[in-house]
Amino acid sequence: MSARVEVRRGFYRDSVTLLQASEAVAASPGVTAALVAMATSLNLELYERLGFEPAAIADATPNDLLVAVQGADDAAVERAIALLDARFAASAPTHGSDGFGASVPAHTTTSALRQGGTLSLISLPGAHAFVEAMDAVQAGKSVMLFSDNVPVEQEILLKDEAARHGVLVMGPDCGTAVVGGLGLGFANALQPGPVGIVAASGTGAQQVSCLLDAAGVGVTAVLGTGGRDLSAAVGGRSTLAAMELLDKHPGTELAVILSKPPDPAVAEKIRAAAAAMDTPSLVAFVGRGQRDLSAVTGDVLAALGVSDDAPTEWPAPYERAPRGGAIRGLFSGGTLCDEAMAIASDTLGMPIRSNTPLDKEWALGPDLRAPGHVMIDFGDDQLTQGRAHPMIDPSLRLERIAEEAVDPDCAVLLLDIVLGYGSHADPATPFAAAIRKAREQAAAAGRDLAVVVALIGSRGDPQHRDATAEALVAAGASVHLSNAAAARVAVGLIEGAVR
Amino acid sequence: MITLELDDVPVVVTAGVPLFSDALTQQAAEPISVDWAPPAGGASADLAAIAADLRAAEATVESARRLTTARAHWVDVVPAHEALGLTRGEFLHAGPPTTWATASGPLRGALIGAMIYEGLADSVEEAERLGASDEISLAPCHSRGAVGPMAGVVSASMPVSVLHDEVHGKRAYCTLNEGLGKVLRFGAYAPEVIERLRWMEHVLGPLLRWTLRKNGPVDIPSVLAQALQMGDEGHNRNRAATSLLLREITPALLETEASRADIKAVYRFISGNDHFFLNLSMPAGKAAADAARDIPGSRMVVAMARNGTDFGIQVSGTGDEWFTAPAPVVDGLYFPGFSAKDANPDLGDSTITETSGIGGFAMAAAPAIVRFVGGEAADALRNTLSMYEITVAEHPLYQVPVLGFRGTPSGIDATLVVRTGIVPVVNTGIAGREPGVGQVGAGLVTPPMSVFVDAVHALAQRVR
Amino acid sequence: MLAASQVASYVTVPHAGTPAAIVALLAPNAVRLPIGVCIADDALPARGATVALGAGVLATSDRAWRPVRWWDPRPHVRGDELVAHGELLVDIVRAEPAHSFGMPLSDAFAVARRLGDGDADAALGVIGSGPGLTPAGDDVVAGAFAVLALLGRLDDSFRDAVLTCARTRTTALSAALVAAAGRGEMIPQAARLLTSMAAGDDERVATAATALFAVGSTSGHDLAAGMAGALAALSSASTESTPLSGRRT
Repeated sequence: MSARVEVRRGFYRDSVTLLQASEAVAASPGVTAALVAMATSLNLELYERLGFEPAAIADATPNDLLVAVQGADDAAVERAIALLDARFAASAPTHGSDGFGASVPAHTTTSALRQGGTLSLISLPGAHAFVEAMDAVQAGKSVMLFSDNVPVEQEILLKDEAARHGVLVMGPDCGTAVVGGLGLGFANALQPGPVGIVAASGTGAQQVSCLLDAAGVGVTAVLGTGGRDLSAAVGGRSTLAAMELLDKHPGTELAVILSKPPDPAVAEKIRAAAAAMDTPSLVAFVGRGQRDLSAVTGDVLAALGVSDDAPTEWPAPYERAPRGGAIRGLFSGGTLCDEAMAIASDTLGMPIRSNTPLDKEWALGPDLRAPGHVMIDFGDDQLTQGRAHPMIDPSLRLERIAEEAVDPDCAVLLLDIVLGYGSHADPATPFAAAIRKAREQAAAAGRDLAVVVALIGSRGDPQHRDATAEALVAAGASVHLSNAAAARVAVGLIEGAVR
Repeated sequence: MITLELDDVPVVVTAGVPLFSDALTQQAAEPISVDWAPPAGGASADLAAIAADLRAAEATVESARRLTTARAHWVDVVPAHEALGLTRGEFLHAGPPTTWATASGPLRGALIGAMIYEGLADSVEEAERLGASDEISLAPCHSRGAVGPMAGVVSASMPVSVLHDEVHGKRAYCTLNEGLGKVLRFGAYAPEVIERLRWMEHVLGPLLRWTLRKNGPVDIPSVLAQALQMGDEGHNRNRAATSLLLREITPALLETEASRADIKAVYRFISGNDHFFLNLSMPAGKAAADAARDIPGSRMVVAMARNGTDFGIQVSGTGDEWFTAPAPVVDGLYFPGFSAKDANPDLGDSTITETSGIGGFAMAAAPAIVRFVGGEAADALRNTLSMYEITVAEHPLYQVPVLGFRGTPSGIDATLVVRTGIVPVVNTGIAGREPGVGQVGAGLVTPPMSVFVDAVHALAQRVR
Repeated sequence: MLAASQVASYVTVPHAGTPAAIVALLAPNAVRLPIGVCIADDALPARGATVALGAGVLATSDRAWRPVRWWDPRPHVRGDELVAHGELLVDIVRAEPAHSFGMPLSDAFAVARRLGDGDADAALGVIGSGPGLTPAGDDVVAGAFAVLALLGRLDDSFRDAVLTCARTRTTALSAALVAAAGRGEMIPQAARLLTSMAAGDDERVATAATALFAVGSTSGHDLAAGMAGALAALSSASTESTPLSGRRT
């Protein structure tokens, strides 16, 4: 036999709750006697009649709660007490609104989490993001931190605190994530499947997951880590945590870790951690001289034994002849821009001028103009100050398309269009119109302007991927689900003439 | 070990651009949006520095734990010279530190009355001369473990209640409530005021002392918890608590070896003064708040007090430092014949009630007073609900029936005040500007945001 | 259109040569049935409307609905871990008051045990027993079926026998849910309970059970009873403590 008696001070639940709790405890397996009641004199008499030791509660007053449980063994008593605590926790009023009148909106992440939140998504200006993110982490909830301009010391502190609380910090500067089928930030509608993705690059993760979707392969989760996670300073804290999470997740059959080439020591650490996983994994560091995102997707499909024969492009509605001149790439995704620049400069052996150049020598001036091949990442911080991201607001790119239309140097326009939640609701309409007009203007000047579009989207995306592609093709573009393929087509049109 | 559940659809809390919460709604999820605004006073760097102080969150929670677990009992009534070691020239007052030169009308009036009561001066003129000299000394009640309503003046001969919290080992002190009308705490010093003080010294104090000896200590938080379920909020409405108190101590009072006339006078005095209990809920709050003091890093407010000139706060993590700003004028309803021009700026230590989770914070429990302070029942609910935004605990004992017996919002986090732009709701009486006029109305006061911004800055300085 | 409530519409989809399938259109606050489609809209097709289904869209004459996100109604659990922690659920279910269940717990356990033994007649006796759109007997069978399917203990001929019985003896919606359970698919509250159990986390199991119990009037309890019964029957440790009334034929 085993017994436990507790006097809980300053504890109050209504009598019905106490009665029900007392009954539930008494009915718990192995319990022979139980009393959960305020320590009133009547209840104290009952307590003694049940055979509990009066000395144990000598100092109890009627304002105190008496918990007395007797059972066959310690385990039975422990179980009963745990059951009681769970019941009390469930009966604790959390955000009372039994009354009348308006409720008060949550003003902080802490307050909103009290209303039942399980994950925090923060897109505040960088100077304010850390405080809200700390709220979530210290409440034991994972965070997707979309905000950029968060100081690296704050990022490290946040991630260390996250480790202490057993939660994941995705970001800062994390553009996409999919958790429980729900897209966070800029995210595609992805089907459930066997692949878990950990990515330091938002558009990189969107490209791979959308190509997998085209091949009929779904994901368990897409976990972003933020672009700086694999730097020497941050040391892959979130990437390693996300890998551990996927490793423990029974539904994940293949973990894909995706990043630009990281700090070498960190790269080593990630590879070692991947090798130690029970779940098969694939580490892909994409960038110049590495495999591109589409090739990595091929590797994933090969590892799963899935053959990829789904069509992934819509050819242009007319024959396009190779031509001399320059490629002008106008991008909304940073990783997509990098990938296209790497393919173009490696194939053409020529510099690609950019606001985010592969080589410092190739940097564009503030007017973003130069003769020759130019590729611009319109999602770069410098160009998004005080305005919406180009995935939402296409106006800068549309203006630039109009300017390129009248530039005699421009022979090929290369664009990315990223679909999914968070992105522009109908990019086909403005881009098709801009493409049609640009081609007409160029034609009027005696030029055949080729337009190549990388369309990053899934079959389930709200913008209707295929209808979007068809509208762009009707305007005169070729459309490719693979950004690398689009870049190669654009380069091929020029290279054919160079040869 | 990471606990993020990958197979569950998360319930997402969003802070920032509405685009992303709209994107969640489009996915048939139901996000909870944070109604975020930039922090007051441009304090974002200070807030980030404090958030980076990893002991701060736990320290604040610990402060709130101490605040809400304190159980101060009314154990004794003794003269202030005995309880607080006050000498004849020493006077305590409400609020942050002040001087005769800067003291407001009601505070000066109360000091004049106290000097006459102590026999230090025979006339108002003499008292004023003495007040301006260095023969008397002033100190805040808060600096001596005491609190006082309105002017809050305590002098050596006045009987004070002693409250003792065994849980955290703190003692707190407060004078006995004088009732309404012409009273010292509102700055009145007419002969009848002085006479009443003497009666309190010679009859009320000693009888209550004997009563407590007979009855045993009175559990003040327990009385408050019941009173909150009977329409009190513990600051501006104390009718239920005073009645409950009287019910508890009357048998012992009747058994004291005093004259029938004195017993009757004491009973009548307490029963005729709805606010008698205020001078017990205040020191109960003070004992609780003092238990929460001096925890390094703690962001919790441990005192809010006004001296009629300045409004000041103290914070657990910054010791005895006061953060002050000019006291605001109370926004409320005036008694017939008075208006805002008769009002003195906000006055008194009674904001210790809000500091400890009752008063304005428990307004939803006291719909009966919302008309008195100008408002509707829904305002009372909203006031209490909005205080959960700036507090870190819910009081286990003080509960609001209409909110499903949810605990009152307790333990003000100074950083939350600055982050949300929501200042504590304070229910209070309004003192007349001129000495001797007394109470002229009641209402709500809006504490100055700058004191919280300053406190946050001081907290940040300590971790930089 | 088969039926409609405030938060869900049920659409019959005829297939040539096979029995009709059911698709539920679910508003954001509806219980997410495994045969459901989430739509981000409170306005659902009206009862009795004729709808067209195809190309990823469900349309009536004046408007269209599109699913907005995907989820996997089959929880990812390891069978051995589930069975190892089966007692957790059995204890919780037994601690619930008797009136919470639409079918007495001892009966539910007996049915689940017989289903576990591959006895299709067990389903015959209870499917369609109870009031409501998903009768209690069906919920018990669905609970047991879901667990057996996840553990790979359902052979095809046995499953088909039970489903054939369900098609004629209960509401079309309920039959579709039993069929989904036969594929290991279930509502998220049930899925969460099983993943928490597989993790062996008492606290999460208790929370998940509370959430499941809140589904329907007795549905959540009956589903849990079916799951618990199947697990009790599978875990050898609990053999002697399984309540057996055995009065049904």
